[in-house]
This record gives sequence, C-alpha cells and structure tokens, in this order.
Amino acid sequence: MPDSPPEDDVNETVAAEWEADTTPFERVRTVMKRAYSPLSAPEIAERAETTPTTARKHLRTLAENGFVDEVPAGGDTTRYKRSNESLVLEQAHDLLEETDRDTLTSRIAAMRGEIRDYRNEFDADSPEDAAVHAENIDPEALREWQTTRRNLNIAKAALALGEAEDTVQMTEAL
Amino acid sequence: MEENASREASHSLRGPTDRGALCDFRDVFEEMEPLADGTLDDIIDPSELNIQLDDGIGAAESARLDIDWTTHNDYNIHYTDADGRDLRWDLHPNDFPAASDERHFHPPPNASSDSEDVEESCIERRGIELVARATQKLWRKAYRDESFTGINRAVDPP
Repeated sequence: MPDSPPEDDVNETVAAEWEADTTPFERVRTVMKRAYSPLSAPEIAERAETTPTTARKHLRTLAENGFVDEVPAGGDTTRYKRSNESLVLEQAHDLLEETDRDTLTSRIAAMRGEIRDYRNEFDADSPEDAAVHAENIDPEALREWQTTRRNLNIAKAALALGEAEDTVQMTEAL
Repeated sequence: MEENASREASHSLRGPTDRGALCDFRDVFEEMEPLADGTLDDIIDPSELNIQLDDGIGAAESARLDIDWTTHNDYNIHYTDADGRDLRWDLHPNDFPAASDERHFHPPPNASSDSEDVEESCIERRGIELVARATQKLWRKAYRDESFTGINRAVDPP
C-alpha cells in the first residue's frame, strides 16, 4: 500500500474540489462576498486558493464594479472588504425575489415593534448600549436584537428599492 | 452565579446572524447533497438555516442540520436526528481544554458540553464555502458508514 495521498484529508479534499469547480475570479469573489472586515491581498489569496498577484488583479476588477471597497492600510498597502452598498443591494434584491411587498410592509412594522420592545426591556437605545450599561444580560437576547435591527434595515431597503424600480424609468406622461 | 454568567457570555457567538451567510451555506450544501433541502426559519429575519435530510445516520429515518452563522464568521452546525442523536461543530470563543482555538466539536450522542467530552474540531478551513463542503463530506462519510465513529475525523485511519 502506498502512503495515503493528502487528498484523503477532508480539509485538503474540499479545497481541491472547490479549486477544480471554480475559476480564481469566482473564488476571490466568493471570499469577498462575506468579507465584512478588511483583509490583505495575501490573506484573500490564501482563502481563495490562489496567489496574491492573481487575487490583486481580480480585487481591482471587483473594486471597479463596486463589489468591494479598497481600504488604505498605511504605507502603500491596501486592504479590501465587501462594499456595504453592494451587500445591502444583494440582500434587498434577494428579499424582493423571496417575498412580496405586502409581506415586507407588515414585517417591517412588526420588527419595529420588536425593536421598541427590546429598548423598553433593556432600558437602552441599542444592544451595544445595553451591553455596556446592564449587568448579567443574556448575550443571546442582545444578538437577537442586533439581528432583527440588521434585517429590519435590509427589509426597509428592499421596499424602497422595489418602489424606486417601479418608477425610475417609464412613468406615464400625464 | 457571577462566574456562571461570565462563562456563558464567553461562549456566545459574536455578532448578529448573517442572513446572506445562511443563504450561501444552503446553496453550497444543496448543490453537493442530493438528500438535502434547506430553508431559513424566517425568510426575512432568520435566526437559523434548517437543512432537512431525507435519511439519518444508521437507524435514524431522517435528520436535520441547524446552522447559525454570524457577521463575525462564528458558527454553530448542529446535527440532530429522528433517534434523538445530536452533535455540533462550533466556532466561537470558549474555554474548552481540547480546543486549541475557537473551533471545537460537541460529540454525539448528546452534543455534550462537558469540558472533558468536547473535542478539537476536524474542520480546519474557514469561510462558508469550505466549511459547508466539509460538513457535507463528514455527514456523507458517517451516512455511508452508518456510524458516528469517524464524523469528527479529517482523515480515515487505515
């Protein structure tokens, strides 16, 4: 029996299969899709199974397309993160595909109510505020507050996006 | 009491649940795994992704993976089946002696959180794409073997 090839390791196998299934550009894009804090090109290259030179080339393209933001990191180094605007639009589009505007409208009202309840319950304006000022607070409750706040804002963006798309091009002449 | 509270706090996931990450995990897993059907527990404000599996490991007739993934890339990946067996791969701050970093594994049959039971996680790679692929491989191996024995092993022993 020859020595087991390294492909037998599940971590090696999944990386090799991902590399075989995709182009370097697709992998850099996938890594950056959820890169919410800035990463260096070598860090991105390692995660995307490619070289820093190739990663930088694709990062420039993704920056030109508005998918990532370039973040100056001192000297002549640049770090990269997912663009907030691009992320909000991605999630807003997904909500418009997955649900309808009436549902969005009623859920926005309900989530606003939940946020009001959190504020009253923890006597704080924000979960960050509550974490600083309240003692023995359930961290899961604060996480739920943060999650609902985030999804409320995305739902509001989705509704606004849908309304703008209705009227931005061909409003009927009066 | 106070000590307990701070212990629990140190074991919590960091950051809000990331709806986009749950969608990505679902898409990768469904692409790889014919038995899987994933849905968010709430399409607008989800707290987890539920992946229904049409069959379970060994005698179990069905199973489910429940995934929470945060904007800080912390996660819980929880397997539970119709025979009441549970296990979980996690990434979050912890003080388990076997965990050399934030990654760790709560073993079957009850996803034990006892310090002496918790193991190092075999999922070394980071990022939704590779973690979802690794989860699918580990589940498939255990499903094929009809056994939980190797489910947290990166390499099969000879």
